[in-house]
Amino acid sequence: MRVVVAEDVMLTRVGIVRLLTEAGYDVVGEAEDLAGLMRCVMSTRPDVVVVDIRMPPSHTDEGIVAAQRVRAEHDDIGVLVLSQYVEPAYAMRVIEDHPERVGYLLKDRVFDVAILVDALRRIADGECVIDPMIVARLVGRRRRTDPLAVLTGREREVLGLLAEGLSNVAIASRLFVTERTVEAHSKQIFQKLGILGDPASNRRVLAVLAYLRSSTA
Amino acid sequence: MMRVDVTRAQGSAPDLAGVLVPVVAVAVATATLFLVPRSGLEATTYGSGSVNVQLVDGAAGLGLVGVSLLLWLVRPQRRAVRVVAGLAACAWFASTWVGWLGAPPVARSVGMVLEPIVVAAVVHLVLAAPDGRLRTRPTRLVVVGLWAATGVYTIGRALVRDPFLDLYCWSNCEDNVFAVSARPDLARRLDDVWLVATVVVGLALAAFAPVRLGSSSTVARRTLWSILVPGAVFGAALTAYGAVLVLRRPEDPQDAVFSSLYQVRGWAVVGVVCGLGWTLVRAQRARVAVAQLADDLGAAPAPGSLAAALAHGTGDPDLAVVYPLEGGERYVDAAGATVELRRVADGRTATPIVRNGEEIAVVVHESAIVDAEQLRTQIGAAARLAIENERLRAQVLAQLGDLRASRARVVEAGDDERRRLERNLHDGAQQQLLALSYELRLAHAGARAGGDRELTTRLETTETCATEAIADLRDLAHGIYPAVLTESGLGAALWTLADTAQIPVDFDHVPDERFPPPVERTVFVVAADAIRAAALAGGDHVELRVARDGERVTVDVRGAGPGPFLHLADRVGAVGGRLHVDEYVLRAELPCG
Repeated sequence: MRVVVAEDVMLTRVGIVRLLTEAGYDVVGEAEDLAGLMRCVMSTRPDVVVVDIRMPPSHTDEGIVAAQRVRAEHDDIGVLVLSQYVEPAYAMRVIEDHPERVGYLLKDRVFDVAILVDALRRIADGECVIDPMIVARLVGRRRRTDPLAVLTGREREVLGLLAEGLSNVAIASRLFVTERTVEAHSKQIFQKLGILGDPASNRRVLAVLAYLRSSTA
Repeated sequence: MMRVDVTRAQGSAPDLAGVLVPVVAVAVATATLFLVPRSGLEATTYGSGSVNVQLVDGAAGLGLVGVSLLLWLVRPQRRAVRVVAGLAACAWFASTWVGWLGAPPVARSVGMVLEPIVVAAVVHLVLAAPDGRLRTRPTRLVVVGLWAATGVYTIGRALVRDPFLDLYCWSNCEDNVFAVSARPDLARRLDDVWLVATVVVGLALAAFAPVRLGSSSTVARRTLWSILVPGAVFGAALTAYGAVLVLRRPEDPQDAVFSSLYQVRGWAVVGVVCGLGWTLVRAQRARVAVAQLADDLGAAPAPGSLAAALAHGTGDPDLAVVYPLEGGERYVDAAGATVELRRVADGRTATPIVRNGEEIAVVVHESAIVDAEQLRTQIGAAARLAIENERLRAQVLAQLGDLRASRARVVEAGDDERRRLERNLHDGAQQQLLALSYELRLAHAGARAGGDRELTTRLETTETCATEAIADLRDLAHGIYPAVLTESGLGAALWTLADTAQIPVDFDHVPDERFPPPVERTVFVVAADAIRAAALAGGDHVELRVARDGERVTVDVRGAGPGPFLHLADRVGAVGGRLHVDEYVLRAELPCG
């Protein structure tokens, strides 16, 4: 798989490149800022771009902007945004416009090769990847009455994996059940929680995240 | 002693022209109205024409007399312009005397000499608008040149003109008692040159008004237009008259074109007179008001009322009273707001009020309406207490304003510093920890492959420590400054706050719009601290509401507990807001203009 890495801190960039190379990826380009990344993507046409959320010039959300632009301009190129922020708002922005082939992962996980490889594979397969810590923070928020109490234990498990962006097949293999069972569960979850949207579409991750974020009480 | 004498000598210097000319103008006007017969002069004067012509003729002449007298009353120190107005009146009536068949030859001859003065006098009055002073060098040169030319023409003509031999004579073909030698060709050449000069001066005057109005401030324009517009009409009519005269000589007051042009000139003079009169009446009203105010302000009036009272009394709505701070380094108004005095608009004057050699206030007023000299002398003495009161208050308010601004700057600098720290943590320590964690993983994998079980366990523990350190550092950085607040606004930041709060946070409302950064940061700090306080006090939940109400942003936190929230009050106060705390609700109101 051909990968482009965009990260302005040299130390981290070298680390990621080394990690990817050792894991058998072909790093075809490196960039230090948004403009450089867009040029690199145009010239090398990689399969996936790994981009830091903060890059020059403003060191704010260039990585998110880059993800949105790459996804808008190149339908076949996936993007993994690496971030140091546990901010659901950022994750939702990343998957908002083009909810497939994108991911938002916390930086400290990247150096676990297994997690990085898994995320890149899922993105290449057309899924989206949301860091479990983001989902955990949304699910774990203290509420006066838990809206998820209407769900069974298994349904809560499915909901969590669904929010992380896993496909039905992936959830099924993770939980050792059939794909049909996962489909039934997700339909049930959407119905019980009153989440608008199609539990089978690729926008379901955003719908679930938005639901978890907005539900008060 | 010597000095007193000199001053007195100057003060009572024989002001012959200043007294004589207006008096003579009154006499001439009276004589013209009562002595000159109403009929029989239709062919030699305009003043005996139709009712309309008679009306405008009288109105213009009497108006000029009136302006001369009004100037004497309102602006006694402006002698020149008073004399000019008087001369204009005499010259205006002189044309009737020239054509008065049967009048004494001396009267007709004097009339002939005076008549051309009208042009120079009206030009002078218009150029000296609005307060009787010729402000710029070019206008002074033009006026002096015009007077000189008029003198040369009218005196020269009187010496060489023999009316019998004048081909184009119409109003006076008989008398010239001043003639020394009859030189008809020279007299005609003088007339021709004068005619051309009239056309040029008329054009210049017509062009002067739009140029002057265009380059004036709005305030100055308010006064100027009433004089400059009729002045321009006068100029245009003068040029037209000259042009017609070149084509159709001799002049004939019964001719419709000449009669019309005369009426336009007359009405234009009436317009100039009204404009001057209006300005003078306003100035007189201001004068009385200032004098009266000086009496009224003996008692101590409410602070801030001085400028209002002066503005109302003088009829100058933009009048301002400002006070020097730091020895005149800067000026503030009664509310303590800094005022830029170096750029006083055109048409306005900044008059310092001085007491014991110290400047205690500056009045910024319309130059044409409010008399600077009178302000200086009368206000300074009588309104001392009022000015002193206001000055002290303005000083305190200005210091308060400075303090407030400094407070806001301190808070802002603190926020910026926190933001910088947060970035540095991410870019420095966190990256190093990530690299360390990566090296540890490699070492861990190596140890496991080498079968060193003890090292593997130890590296596993170290790896966990590194991961925890990274997570701690992330939380620390977020606590120092939530980057999401700057990038995504209050909504996202408050949601994250709720996600991580120790107790449930109910959102009632958070607007999507962005506010100025200091406001957003303050709202966030208020919400975060109130939620933390509620959790510490053992509350079971808080309700958070952020709303915009016009120029204000309001944050309500219900369930925050009774406080005290002194640091929050400071923080809210620093951006000019207020914090209310009662046993149910903590409310911060922040201005957001």
